[in-house]
Amino acid sequence: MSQNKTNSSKSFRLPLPVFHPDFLNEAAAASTDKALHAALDNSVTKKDYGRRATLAELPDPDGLRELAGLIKRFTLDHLDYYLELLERNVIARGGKVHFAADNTEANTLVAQIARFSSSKLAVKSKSMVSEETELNQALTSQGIEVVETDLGEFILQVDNDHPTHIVMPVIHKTASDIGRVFAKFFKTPYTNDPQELAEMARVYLRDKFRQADMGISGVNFAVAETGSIVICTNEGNGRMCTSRPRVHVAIMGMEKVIPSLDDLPVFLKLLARSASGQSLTQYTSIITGPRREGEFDGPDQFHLIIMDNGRSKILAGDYRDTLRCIRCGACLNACPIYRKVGGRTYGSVYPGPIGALLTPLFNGMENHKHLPNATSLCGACFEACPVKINIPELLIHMKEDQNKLGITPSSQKLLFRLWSWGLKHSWSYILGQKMQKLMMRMLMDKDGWIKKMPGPARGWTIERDFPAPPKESFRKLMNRHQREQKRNKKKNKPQAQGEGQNV
Amino acid sequence: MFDPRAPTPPAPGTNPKRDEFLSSVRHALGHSVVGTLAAPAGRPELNERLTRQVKMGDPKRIDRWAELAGKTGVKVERARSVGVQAAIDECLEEHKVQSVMLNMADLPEDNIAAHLAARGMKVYRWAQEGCAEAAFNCDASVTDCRYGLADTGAIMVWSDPGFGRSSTLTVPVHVVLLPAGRILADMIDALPHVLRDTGGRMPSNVVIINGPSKTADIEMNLVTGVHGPKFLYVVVIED
Repeated sequence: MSQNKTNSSKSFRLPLPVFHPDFLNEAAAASTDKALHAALDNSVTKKDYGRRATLAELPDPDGLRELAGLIKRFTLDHLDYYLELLERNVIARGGKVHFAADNTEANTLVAQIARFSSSKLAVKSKSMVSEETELNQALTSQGIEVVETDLGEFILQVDNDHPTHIVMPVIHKTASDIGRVFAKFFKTPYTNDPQELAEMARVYLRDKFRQADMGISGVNFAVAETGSIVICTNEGNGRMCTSRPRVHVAIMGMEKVIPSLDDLPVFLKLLARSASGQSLTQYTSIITGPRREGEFDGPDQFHLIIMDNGRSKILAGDYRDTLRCIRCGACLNACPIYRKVGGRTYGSVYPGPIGALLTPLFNGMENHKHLPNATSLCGACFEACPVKINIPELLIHMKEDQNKLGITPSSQKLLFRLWSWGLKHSWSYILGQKMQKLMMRMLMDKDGWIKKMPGPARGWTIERDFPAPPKESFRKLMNRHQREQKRNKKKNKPQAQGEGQNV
Repeated sequence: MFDPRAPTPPAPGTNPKRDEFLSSVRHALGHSVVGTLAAPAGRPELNERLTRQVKMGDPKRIDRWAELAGKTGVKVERARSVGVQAAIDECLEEHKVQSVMLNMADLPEDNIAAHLAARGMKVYRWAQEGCAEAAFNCDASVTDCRYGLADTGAIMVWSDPGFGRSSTLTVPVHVVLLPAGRILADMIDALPHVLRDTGGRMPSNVVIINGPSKTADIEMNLVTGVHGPKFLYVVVIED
């Protein structure tokens, strides 16, 4: 699926999997999908309100976001130092550190660790990095059974589907959809009761936890000074995966490191609030190496895989700030585009505003031409971001880069050239306005609405009618108004002043 | 802080993949690719005006803790030390508990063990052969915790030879004893406490627990008790 057209090297693989390359067609379909909109209103819109409400509990939420952004920027600017510090401290606490240059190497490392530790069954808690590498397929093809244990991810695995949101992976499915999936998988009578469905998964997964040799987890934060990794979950599956099996493998993108334990509360106070409107997730695990001597549970081995997969390239360029991202999903929830088209439309593992940046950055702008345009530039994502990534500005910068690289469509170029010419002189601006009004009034029906616009403006009127401009423009009305006022002033000066005082 | 006998990273040149990875990061940052790196200066200052939600030693922190814990789904009981056993009974009563994992990090457990056994329950203790498996099969657990955090209403536990990961995780009903004096004002106080209590060495597994296990993955319907405890009781001991 993610195999690229480039035939020169058979093993070449894009950093991120591509589920479909066509944002525009998918968006057109999704924007008329009423069930999807209902699901998104019920989830992401609510979470956006939850975010605002819980952030308000903090003494200075904006200041804390600023601080979080500064800590991330500082760590990224000295990432070489902090990665080596992290490595040293993980090793000092009895863990092993592996470096993976790309997705294939990361998968190979997990498979190797499984082979060396004779692991046949792996339980896995949620990890976006493993979505990047398509780890499950890689392990399965090596004869290692891997089971997702986050309820949402488990549903997706059973149904052979992909997550459409970073923290709420299965919002695109209804309880009835999930009921049908489970009835088929468990060979039980159909139910759409969430309690019953969750119970079916719980019982099934409990057995898997009991038998698993290996637990695989993601990493929300890696603390360089103590060699700890931090995992935030609500269900407790993250704790299960890192407590029961003999081997724990944690996979992280290299940008996940923070300097010290003292920095951690800054992020913990922001992460859950931004992600789900909770003051803290139900469980925050801070894991430092494998079990210690004398302890009765916990893994014997702890492996940390640190993955690049295109990040060093991003680090070197103008988009370093995108690596601050803590994968909370707040920008998705706040985005008017995401709320209408859903996560699948973005075509890869990272949807929403941050995905519109990350996917082209990871995979090459030429492979995702339209994504930087999947924005209204309204700024809601910037306002929501807990580490203050200026997403709108970066999206504009990316469009400039696209232009420089010659991947902007020529029709768009022509349009903008016309536009910029038009805005240069007042006479051309006025002329343009007049022509626009004239054309639109020609298309208008008797009630003052335009049912169908021609050419590139067609999209506007697929779903709704467009109101035609009134006969007289605001400019014209204003000019006349000012003229009349002047005339009145001249005519009866004293009276006008008196009136003004009374008001 | 560091154990001189602790294992160290591979010497340069012994792991080419690692060296290549790290030098590509140095290269990306425009830093010199050879030599040891010095600790960078200018780390952002952690201003407590931004990070602290509850003042240290705030006398209202116990009430605040109880109120917020209640909001996250914890059933909070407040008791004096003489009433602790009765409070535990009350928590376990409605769940028809027959087997209990009893695991204390600091508080004495013999009296509670005797009490629960007298009520006809099979009592398992941690730090014994097969205790993790026992915790997987028990109907409930009774444990203490290291700290309460008044900024969110959470509790904090950590593993050591005497205190397991499973005893707070793999049971459907978890009863926690929390002496009120252990309620700290804010999370920013708790992490330094961990290092202080453990001689500067992070425990293998620290967990901040902020309510019972829950999910809202299916159409945002709240379901509790997915993998961790469905019922979380905390008995605050007020003397």
